[in-house]
Amino acid sequence: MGLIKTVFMTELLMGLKIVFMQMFKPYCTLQYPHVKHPIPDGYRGLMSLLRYEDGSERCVGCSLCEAACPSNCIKVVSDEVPGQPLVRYAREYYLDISRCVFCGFCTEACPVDALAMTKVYEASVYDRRELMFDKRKLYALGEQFLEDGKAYLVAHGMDDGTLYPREGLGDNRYAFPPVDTAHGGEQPEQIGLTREALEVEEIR
Amino acid sequence: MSTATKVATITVTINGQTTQVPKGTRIIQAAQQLGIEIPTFCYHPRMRPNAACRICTVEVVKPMNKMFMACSTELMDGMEVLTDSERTLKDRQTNLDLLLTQHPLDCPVCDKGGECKLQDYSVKYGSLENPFATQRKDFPEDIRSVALDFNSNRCVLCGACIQICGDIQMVDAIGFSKRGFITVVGAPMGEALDCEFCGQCMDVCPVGAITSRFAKYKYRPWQETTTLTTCTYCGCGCQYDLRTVDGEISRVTPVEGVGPGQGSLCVRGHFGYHFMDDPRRLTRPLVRRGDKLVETTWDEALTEAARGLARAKAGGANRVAGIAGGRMTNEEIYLFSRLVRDVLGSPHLDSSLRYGAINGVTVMQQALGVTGMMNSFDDLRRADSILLVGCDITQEAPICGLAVKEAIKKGEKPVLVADSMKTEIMKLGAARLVYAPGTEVALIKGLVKAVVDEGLIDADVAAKYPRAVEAIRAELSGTYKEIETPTGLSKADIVAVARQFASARRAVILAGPRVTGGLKGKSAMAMLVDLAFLTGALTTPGAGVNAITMENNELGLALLGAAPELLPGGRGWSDATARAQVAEAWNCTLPEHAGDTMMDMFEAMREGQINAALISGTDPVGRTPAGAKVAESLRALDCLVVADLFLTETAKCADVVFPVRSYAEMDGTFTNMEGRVQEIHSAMKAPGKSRPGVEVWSNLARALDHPLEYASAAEVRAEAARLAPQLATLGVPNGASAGVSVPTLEAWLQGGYLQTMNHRYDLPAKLNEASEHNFRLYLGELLYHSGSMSTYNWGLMKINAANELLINPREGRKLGIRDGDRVTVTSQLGSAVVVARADSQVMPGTLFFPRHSVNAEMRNLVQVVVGSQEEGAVPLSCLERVTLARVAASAEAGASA
Repeated sequence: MGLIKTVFMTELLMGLKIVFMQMFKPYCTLQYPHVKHPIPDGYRGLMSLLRYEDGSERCVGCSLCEAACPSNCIKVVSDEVPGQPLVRYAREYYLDISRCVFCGFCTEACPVDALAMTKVYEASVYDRRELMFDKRKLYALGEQFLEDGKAYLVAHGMDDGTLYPREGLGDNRYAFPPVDTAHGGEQPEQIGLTREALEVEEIR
Repeated sequence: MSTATKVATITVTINGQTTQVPKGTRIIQAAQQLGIEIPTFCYHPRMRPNAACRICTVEVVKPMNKMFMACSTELMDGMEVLTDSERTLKDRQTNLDLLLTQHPLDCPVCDKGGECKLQDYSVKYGSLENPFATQRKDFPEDIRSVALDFNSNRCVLCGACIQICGDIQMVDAIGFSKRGFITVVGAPMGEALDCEFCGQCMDVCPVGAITSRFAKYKYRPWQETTTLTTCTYCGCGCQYDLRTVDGEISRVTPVEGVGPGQGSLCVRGHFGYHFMDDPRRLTRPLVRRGDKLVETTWDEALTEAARGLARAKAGGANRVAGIAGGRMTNEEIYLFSRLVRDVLGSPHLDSSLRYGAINGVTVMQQALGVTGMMNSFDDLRRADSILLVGCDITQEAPICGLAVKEAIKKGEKPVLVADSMKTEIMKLGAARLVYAPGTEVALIKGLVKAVVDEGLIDADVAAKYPRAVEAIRAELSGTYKEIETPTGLSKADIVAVARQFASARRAVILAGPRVTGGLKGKSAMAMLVDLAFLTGALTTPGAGVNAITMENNELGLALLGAAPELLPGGRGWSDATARAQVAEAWNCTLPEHAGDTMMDMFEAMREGQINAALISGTDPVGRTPAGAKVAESLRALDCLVVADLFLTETAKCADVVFPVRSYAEMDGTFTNMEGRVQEIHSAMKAPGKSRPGVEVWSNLARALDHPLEYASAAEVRAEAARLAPQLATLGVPNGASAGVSVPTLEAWLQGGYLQTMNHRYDLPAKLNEASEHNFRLYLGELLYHSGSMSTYNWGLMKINAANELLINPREGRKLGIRDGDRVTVTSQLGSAVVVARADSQVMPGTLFFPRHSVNAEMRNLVQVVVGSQEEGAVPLSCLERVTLARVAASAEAGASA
């Protein structure tokens, strides 16, 4: 028997049977990076800063995110907006993404829904210094992935999809004075990363 | 405190813990002693209970079952209190709920967030659901005042701010206005707050209703690093927490119960923290190349300085001079004086003590063997009577002023004020003697004469020391006329004050800079010692005579002998044993003759007898009128080395400038006017390549081939303490426990006393009264500035730029001068144009201008009178502060109006 098996290569054929059976089943391997998984709304990707609909900065520079951060990767430098007395804002905002553990505590600490996490997880760069996100980059990310941010806040039960409005939320939620972009606030702008570049590419 | 009245103790039980407390103790105090926390907004350990906030309600179960305010209820024997019973907690919760119906919940943008009592208590005792309807207040935040912002929405109306302003600061600048739900705290009549900005209301505010304009939104409490350090603005030496965020200063906060101020700060201490990170700070050493000072390396600067100093030293004996400043640390002063006296071998060492309280300090040393004040601030607080002579205490030493104010509160108007202005303290004190500026000597003579003539001499003193009493009596043969004429006071006034002072048991004399720094300052101070002696103040515990020092470490200068007539340890240069001891410790020789005083040095520089000088931490060019010719003297030098924080007027004349560190950037100690040695600590990033003074002088000694190496400032202090044992103690007035041998009063009365008696009671010659100059210009101290560093603070300059001429309102009206008008002031030496403002403190015929103003024109109107040698060892070289000037409405002011 052994000889017959050896001569007719039955083991090989048995193996090939599996192969041929699999040939008629659908794919389950994803051709990353050409093909990507859909990301759930609650996914904790790169951090972003959000603006109000009129373009003014949400962040009031309260540093609560900094206090909540377990890996000490956030640094907020708060100040009074120049020319706008009694309006507090983050003059500088740094987030060291290389130290971030993506726990999302900062977004929970934020009293004005200024912080939200996007679905972007591809953070690799050629220069580590690029991983130190500053205020400009964080706002640009927020601008680009606003929908991600909104969905994130809803998924984590921090918002009902309308986002914390400028005029506050009734009696028990304070209406923080907005940072007028004409004074010290950053103008909305785009950075290099575009939505298109991250779009799923079809396999040829 | 007096031990005679024994306070009964009572036994009480709080939360089951039984303890014994003195009768009169309130519930909250006893609870705090037991470590039990009772929440409170309005309670403050240094103030009367206010019982306004109602959050401290506790349940008393015995002798009656009732809710009581813990802050205001005195305990009874056998009382049982529960601070965590269900009923207490429920009341507490309801109180918080009621407060939170109004509080705006803007914690994320509130500067108090993180250290707010309401926040803490809400977390600890509050409810999750507020059963009451909210009614948020919506007052606009009051940001009209320069330093303090009032947010009435956050206010819990506890009234602590109003109480501290009225009871401790005694200024009454703020109060409640309106009623009911719209009650707000602020300046009266809804005006913008314009007070002296001590900032204490902000400190006691439990919530964020009063916040600092200068620190607005710059910090969160948990980001800050706190460093307990010593203030550098005046001789009080208050301790405070310097708070920094990432090495940059964010604000200053007091520490309750710590240091001479016990937790009070003045405007300079609170808001004068901007000079350390001023962009004008020197960051690298400078050397002179032609006309310009250029930046260089430390090596080059040190080599060049050493070369210049060595050249002068080689040129002949005593050709180097050193001038130290009163804002250097004790360690820096010690090393500096050793560098000058030992390494450079020159006796010419003087300091800013010369234009400060040198006369007060030396007289006190000779008379009583005390360096600094005889009494501590605590003695002042307990004094039955305080006589302030030529001392605007609330401006010159604000925290010492608070101690005087505390004595005032004891009732029966115990404070007697003699000054040439209607000072703040005078408005609170009882007897006022307003004398013509510059006539302090006559006034003090009058007081002594009144004590002798009216038989007010202490019976014990008269019996024990008849010889001394007779010697003083013999000097007072003149009539009252010679006192009444110059001072403009009547005999009756003087006698009344003398009588009141002599009748008090614990009577304290405070002599201000106008006594010690005036003409015949040494005599004036000696006369005050006589006055204290005759009234028995020198022999009564808690009483005495004191001279105020102005700069923060002026006493350190005296203690470490930074004056030609002094040696380390505060002993005189003439003391041969002390000199030998110092020479042995330093392994050098010290000449028998003392060196030149500052003014003599400047003359010697002009004449080419001194060729090189070291100046540190003081600005003689910027502080003296042009008439003193200091800049000319310094330019005549072959080599001038200056160490300072900024490019001062003096530094501009220098050949080498060393950038040194401020008190916030290095370790060391300061000695306050009481003689307390207190530490400072490095708290923030030092600018550029600046080095601590101790390191600089050590480096320079090495460059001069005479190494003086130390591992730290503490090591320098340890060495200095061998010569000045007072330095070994920390935080105790007068180095009380240092085992310093203090010559007693008897020693002074045996001979030492009579040596200086000659001419002591002679009155100085009258001022040159030019007829067309009908005003006396008086350069005095201002609360907001102390001269050395304060004018580099943008914050303090914003509060008060120290550039206004103050004039009596009635005279201002007569001359048609309105507030803000520019006026010309003319003296024999020239004229200056300044802005005038009417102030009721100024007497008719007098003009007041801040002494520390950056305005050199005004300063140059004053003559420099170098004191004569008549008083024995010390030639006085104080700046005359009084000159005659004329005011006329400026032509350009008329045009602009």
